[in-house]
Amino acid sequence: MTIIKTEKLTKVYDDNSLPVRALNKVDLEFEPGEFTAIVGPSGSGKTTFLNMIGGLDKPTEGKIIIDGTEISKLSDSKLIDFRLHNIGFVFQAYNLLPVLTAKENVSFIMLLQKTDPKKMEARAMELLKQVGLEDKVDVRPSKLSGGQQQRVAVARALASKPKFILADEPTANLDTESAFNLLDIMARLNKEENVTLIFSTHDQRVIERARRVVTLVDGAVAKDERR
Amino acid sequence: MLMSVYERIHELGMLMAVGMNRRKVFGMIMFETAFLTFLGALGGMLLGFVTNAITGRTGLDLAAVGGDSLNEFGYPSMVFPTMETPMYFILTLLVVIMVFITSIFPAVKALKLKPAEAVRKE
Repeated sequence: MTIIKTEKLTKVYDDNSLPVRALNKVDLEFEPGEFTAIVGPSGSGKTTFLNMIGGLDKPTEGKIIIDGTEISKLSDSKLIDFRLHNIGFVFQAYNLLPVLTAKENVSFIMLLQKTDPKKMEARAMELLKQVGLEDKVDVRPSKLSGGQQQRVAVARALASKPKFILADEPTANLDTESAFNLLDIMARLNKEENVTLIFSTHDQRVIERARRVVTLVDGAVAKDERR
Repeated sequence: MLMSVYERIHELGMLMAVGMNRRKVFGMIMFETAFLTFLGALGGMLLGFVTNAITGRTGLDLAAVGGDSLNEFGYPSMVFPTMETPMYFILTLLVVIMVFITSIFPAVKALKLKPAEAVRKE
């Protein structure tokens, strides 16, 4: 069963005088429960690819089909709703809301989904426990280390029960210990809860953990290796 | 409010990326504006009322800053400010209307954000 499928996915940025072909006819399929690293040099199209399958940007040509829905054809408002219910995001810069506590940062996605408040509270607590932050639930991001903030971001990404999680260079701002800690948690979630993970990364530590490594070069798939 | 939107581009981009629709983002900024305006207008009205009440009784001696220049034009340099009560409400209303008009621009600016770019902006 395929959860994400791209067909001849192409993205051309033509804001400047010289058009840039960031993705060039990328055909890829992802199965549920995969732990994939998208690798490649800077400018190879990793982030563009993640933005496309995450519904954050629209392709110039080609199709993106997620669980049977062709998201490249959805209107902006339907796409936002689709993201809310189907995709979890982990950003390089954590992007937590500074005025909210860890628990509130995890909960607000469920608030957008109009989850029952009691269930919301219980799930936020459970997720923070899963990422080892049960003692930091009422702490604001400014009082957390980078690694802890990224773990809150992982809990937030899981809160909406997404079909898959996209992480754009999630370990880039972390020290070695925090990076390993985060990767342990994500590998466990992938194995035990069958969470589908797709990372864009330069980080060898992530690449070593991934069970599939897709190499992009100049916007095209140069290598697709399963381990 | 415009500064507030610029300062929070990451935040707003993230909210849109994870699934907050544009209507809610617009509403959030307008609500924040309304809240700040309400507090500011209320505080300003009270402060103005108290200042006027005091200086209306004690008088305000403008000779300290303008010397005899007012006298030369035939006005006393000691003034006793007064303002009719409805004027407080009219001025407050004008401020609220002005703030709402000026807050539409940042709210629209926020609506035009592309989440993919906003979450990465330094």
